Amino acid sequence: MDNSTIFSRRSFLGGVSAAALLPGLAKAQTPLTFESFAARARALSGFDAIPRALLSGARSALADTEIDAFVSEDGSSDNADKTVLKALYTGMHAPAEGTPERFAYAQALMYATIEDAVNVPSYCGGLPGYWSEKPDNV
Amino acid sequence: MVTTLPQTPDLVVVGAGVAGGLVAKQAAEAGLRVTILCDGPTLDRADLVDRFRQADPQSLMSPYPVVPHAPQPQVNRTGDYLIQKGPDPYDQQYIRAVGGTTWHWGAATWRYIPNDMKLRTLYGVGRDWPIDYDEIEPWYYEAEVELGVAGPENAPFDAPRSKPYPMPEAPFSYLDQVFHDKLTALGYDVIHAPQCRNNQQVYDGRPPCCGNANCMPICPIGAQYSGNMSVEKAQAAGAELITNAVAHHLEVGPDKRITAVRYLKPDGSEFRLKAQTFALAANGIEGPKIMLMSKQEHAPDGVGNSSDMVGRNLMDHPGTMSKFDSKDPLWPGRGPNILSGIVNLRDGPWRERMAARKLMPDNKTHVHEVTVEAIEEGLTGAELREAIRHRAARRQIVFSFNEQLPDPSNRIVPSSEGLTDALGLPRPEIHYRIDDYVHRAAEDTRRRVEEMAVAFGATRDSVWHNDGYLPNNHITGATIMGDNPNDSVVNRDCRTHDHPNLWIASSSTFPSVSSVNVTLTIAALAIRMGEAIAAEARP
Ligand SMILES: Cc1cc2nc3c(=O)[nH]c(=O)nc-3n(C[C@H](O)[C@H](O)[C@H](O)COP(=O)(O)OP(=O)(O)OC[C@H]3O[C@@H](n4cnc5c(N)ncnc54)[C@H](O)[C@@H]3O)c2cc1C
Ligand code: SF4
Repeated sequence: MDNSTIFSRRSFLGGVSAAALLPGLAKAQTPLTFESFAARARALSGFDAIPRALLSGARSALADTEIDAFVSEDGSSDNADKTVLKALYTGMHAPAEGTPERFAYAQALMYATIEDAVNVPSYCGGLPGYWSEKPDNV
Repeated sequence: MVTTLPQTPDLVVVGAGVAGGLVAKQAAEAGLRVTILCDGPTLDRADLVDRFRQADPQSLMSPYPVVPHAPQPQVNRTGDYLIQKGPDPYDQQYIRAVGGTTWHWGAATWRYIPNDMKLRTLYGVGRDWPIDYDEIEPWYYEAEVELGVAGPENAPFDAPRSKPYPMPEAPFSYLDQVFHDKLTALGYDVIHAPQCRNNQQVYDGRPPCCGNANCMPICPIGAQYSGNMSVEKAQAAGAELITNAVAHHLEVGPDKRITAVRYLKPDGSEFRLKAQTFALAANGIEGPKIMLMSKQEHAPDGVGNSSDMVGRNLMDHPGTMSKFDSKDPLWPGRGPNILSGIVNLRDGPWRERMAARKLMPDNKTHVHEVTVEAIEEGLTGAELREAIRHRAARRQIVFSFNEQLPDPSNRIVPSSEGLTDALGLPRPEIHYRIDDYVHRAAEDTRRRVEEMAVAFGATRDSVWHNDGYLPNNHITGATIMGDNPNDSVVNRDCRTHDHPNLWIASSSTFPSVSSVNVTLTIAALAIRMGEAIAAEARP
């Protein structure tokens, strides 16, 4: 995991208009702040609260040219939607080509989705033998 | 230039996994001067857990550092190191470090059943072991005590035993319980898997398993046994451990005794260690490879190879995997990765024509897989969350291990094309074919799982089966055991026929692979070997 990339993206996305910094996005209609990205990510994922590490990671998974379509909600962003959702839910970005990058593990939304039944692997699940009980939600 | 070390131990053990660790421990505790050579480094559990959590992506090998001088077959990329000559891939995977491959194992510790050792006599296929179950039974028990095994009493198709398991069986998860109930109704025997992880108690200084559900690739708390624990006990008893020492040559004297082992350090410098006795415990691929690399005047075909059997008869448990979605939520992922076994296909008269099998419901969470699947389908928002929950609770996987027969043309040799690793040592070249004995059993298993799936509310045609076979890392056969020195490498004691002071501790000595995981049998034979070497060394 390359923390330097994340931190640098995080700091510039933390309020500064991306359009001001990214020449390719200078004509963007939507103000491409971190907040607009986060709002769209929340709506798409079904989660009201998303850890910032996941949001920053998901943002960094998109090519700069895809952000506009993603935030604009005009239906043109199928691929970007899936890229962001996979990043938020799995905690990593695994492009078809190129090196995968993990930005979160236990915070990945897929684990939050099932947390009442299954613990995050490598974290203790409960009292020894807890697994023999019927899960509460069954 | 080769530097000869000043010490001359009673015993040199090459390899620091469960096999080497146990031979060394027994011998050191009996008072022998023991040196262990390991090609890799020592590992720290906390580091491994950190590396796992940060890995992208997470695989069986992601916790384990890459060791350039001791290359390890990487998941899905075994061909970077193992040269696959086919026709089928032999995608085995192992760790080269102190502790060996049991750092990331499932800790399933099954005994062979007596018939597993008499295939030729009973079914007219494969080979018999030169020893029978009764001879190994006391050593199985010693191994269970050493590894700390929890298991069921009087379960069907579990091997006969003279004493109870050291710990009672680990409880089923809800999923295993449902499998048990539904499959019992269909006539199957589903039993608690014997396993060396601590069941609700402290054992041998290890904490109780608290269901981190991460047994493969790393138990974060050390509740399950791994080979480094035996190595540490050997060290506590006085054994010397030399790490990052890649053994590559055994020297043979005119009297056929092994006189020294040579090893390389990461910088390529070479050392030579003389000893009275040698135990090769470098796993089922690296061990035979060292023997075949050791061609010399008094061993022109390699060490222990007057029968031409070193490297041959390579076996594994070619695996099948079948997947379906149950109607009701069973929630895989609660507790240890494997808790039960479907065992009544371990033996039967049909072994004349098809492989014995052990089937296992998988208790790992499949949430990653169902998440990516649902996202790819275009689901979003609440619908996506619900789909992930629904599927993660219902995705069922049944694995099967198929017994494979020994075939001398299935073999490992040092690269015949001069392909080498970073130290210039030949890479292992594998020739491997899976035959109809296995294919017939795999077909039968697939049909059976389709029937099972119906009992879980799935349709037959919704069951997904893997193509080909999965590797199961039970690397067996390449220094095969037998009474006849013309067609076997080691005798019934696991001592080489050719060299009176060279012993082999590994599943590579097994004449049959059975349908169960091999490591408890490795451990039993290793403990027996440590005692035998110590007994012989005593005046
Ligand atoms: C994912 C996975 C899950 C598994 N689960 C199970 C299970 O549930 N139950 C079961 O019974 N088995 C299981 N196995 C198999 C089990 O791990 C092996 O049977 C066992 O580790 C073999 O022990 P060993 O000591 O012979 O070899 P290893 O554990 O591989 O140890 C070999 C040792 O030799 C050293 N070595 C190798 N070459 C050299 C050299 N040239 N010079 C010096 N040292 C050398 C290595 O560093 C290592 O220390 C599993 C394997 C895998 C990969
Ligand atoms: S379930 Fe967890 S604690 Fe138990 S053995 Fe596996 S990893 Fe270790």
